[in-house]
Amino acid sequence: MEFPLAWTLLLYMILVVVFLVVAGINAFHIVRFGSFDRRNRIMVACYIVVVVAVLSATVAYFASVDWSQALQISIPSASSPSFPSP
Amino acid sequence: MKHPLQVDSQRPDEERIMVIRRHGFVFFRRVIFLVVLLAIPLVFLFALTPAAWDLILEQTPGGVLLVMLMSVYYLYLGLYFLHTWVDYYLDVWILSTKRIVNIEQRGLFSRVVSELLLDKVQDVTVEVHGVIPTMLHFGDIMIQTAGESPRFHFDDVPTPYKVAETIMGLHRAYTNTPPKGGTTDVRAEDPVPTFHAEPEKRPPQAPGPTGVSRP
Repeated sequence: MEFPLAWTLLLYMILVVVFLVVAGINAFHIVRFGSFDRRNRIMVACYIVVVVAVLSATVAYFASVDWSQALQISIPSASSPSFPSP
Repeated sequence: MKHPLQVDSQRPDEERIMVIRRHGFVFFRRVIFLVVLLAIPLVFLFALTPAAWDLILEQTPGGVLLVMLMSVYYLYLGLYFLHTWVDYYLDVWILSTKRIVNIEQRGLFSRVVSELLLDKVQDVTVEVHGVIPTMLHFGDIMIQTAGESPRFHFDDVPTPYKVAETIMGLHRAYTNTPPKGGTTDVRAEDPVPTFHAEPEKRPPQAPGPTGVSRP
């Protein structure tokens, strides 16, 4: 089975959107019910630094990828030579 | 932003005495778990399968897929960190001169706020179990109430004995009960003292759900 590598990018973006929605809900809880004291600010800042670092590194890596490549997935079957014959 | 008790429901003649969160060790314990999760892909990538590094550098489809998986993994790990913090930070106990407010965040879409008037307090039990809670001075506090809810329960409270004394002090002040009649039970097999409200000065109350009644 073979499909364009760009499809995986679409899947990745969907996962990132889900991530952003859940992160937004958490942020809402902090703003609505929390108080912005020093500890809370430090934790939220740590989180933002990690997320920005991961997303930046990923985007930087993806920028030079040839997305027209094909991704091949091979499913082993019973007729495959890798299976020992009885 | 002000605290919910101040913003939403603090009464004019009420004074906030104490805001209690779980002990920091509870959050730290989860962070350690996170650090272990953080290291797993790196160990897998660099120690167990060094060839994966070549796939990533050559930007082969397999390498790109690997980077995507790692990126998603670390993003969701970050999300778990934030969620852990929100869960820890938004669980609050507020002691005021009139009541105890228990705010509990359970997951993303469940938040329970319950309050207990100080005159409903029957007794306060402190439980400290284990080496780390004993050394770091944190434990559970349970309040037996005369109301419908059987117990007010708050886990991993820092300096629980002091908090229990404060609750009983506030209870005495609220019911105008002198402190000298109060008792503290300390049993040999159970090193955790149980603080009781003074029985003789209190008005008669209905039996609690656990069948405990006060004279």
